[in-house]
Amino acid sequence: MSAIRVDADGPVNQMESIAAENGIVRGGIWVLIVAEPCSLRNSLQALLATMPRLRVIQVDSIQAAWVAIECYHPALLFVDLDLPGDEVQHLLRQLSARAYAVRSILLANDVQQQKWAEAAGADMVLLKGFPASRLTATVGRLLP
Amino acid sequence: MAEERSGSDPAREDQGPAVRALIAALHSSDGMERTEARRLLVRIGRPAVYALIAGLSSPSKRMRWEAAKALAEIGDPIAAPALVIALEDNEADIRWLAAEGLIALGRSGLAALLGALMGSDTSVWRREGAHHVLHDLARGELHDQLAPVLAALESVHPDSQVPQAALVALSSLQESAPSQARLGPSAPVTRK
Repeated sequence: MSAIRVDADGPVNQMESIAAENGIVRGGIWVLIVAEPCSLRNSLQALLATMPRLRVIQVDSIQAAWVAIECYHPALLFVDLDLPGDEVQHLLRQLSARAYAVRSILLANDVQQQKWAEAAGADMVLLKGFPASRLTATVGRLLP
Repeated sequence: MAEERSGSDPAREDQGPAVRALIAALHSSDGMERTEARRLLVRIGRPAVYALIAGLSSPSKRMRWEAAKALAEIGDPIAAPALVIALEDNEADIRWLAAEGLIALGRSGLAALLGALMGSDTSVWRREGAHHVLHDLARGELHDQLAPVLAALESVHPDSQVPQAALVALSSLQESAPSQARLGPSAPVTRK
């Protein structure tokens, strides 16, 4: 292995920067759904899968979301507010602090949660039970 | 505690220079060197997965092949969505490796695969790769959940039948899944 070079500007950095700049891997835009396994998550994935260019990943915790964000550089993030509120808030703050190029849509159970999510810095909040047309319009507005 | 939840991965940062060097070695024209680099990347596990996922998008066929091979051997569920994309690689041997990687992930790779089958723009290669994976996994305890998806893939009109079958299978699998089998941040399984 003596021929192996340590090159800070080598292929890894180049590839990671390409992915990070574009949020795109092989012709698609990654969308991350963070929610416990439930019919909402699967229905959301099914709806998003019908939209051209979108590649959907689903994970069931904020911790797993971080790993997925670092791996795939998603352009859009859906977060279910059934997850712990402090973790969701921490996620939003860190995304903002690190200037990740990711837009967030929070899925709220009621108006109170909706107000909380807006104050926490979500780009958009959807009340569960939203029609498919609302989802399509929201995604279209937030994605490049 | 906050830092632990912030997404920082100390192991990834510690291993950064080594991973970069090993990834660079995957471009080598020397097959022995590539094999050794891949073996070491597999041993590193999760900290190498980030770069290997990026490697699947490389314009270099050699890089994509090595990345797919390494990811299949590492067996980290976070690579499943990238392996699903690699089912549509232009190179048949890379598509095959991606399918083998998803088979190795077993249940924990199925959310990504079934999710990708819900779309209306599913390519023939993606369906072929999915068939390869599901045919293998359906031989075991997942037969009841996966057999309808296989039947849909083999049908005359897969475009209309596969998305619904995939959604039903995914819901069924999640209802019966042990929590450690979900796609998540669980410790990577490194096979020896």
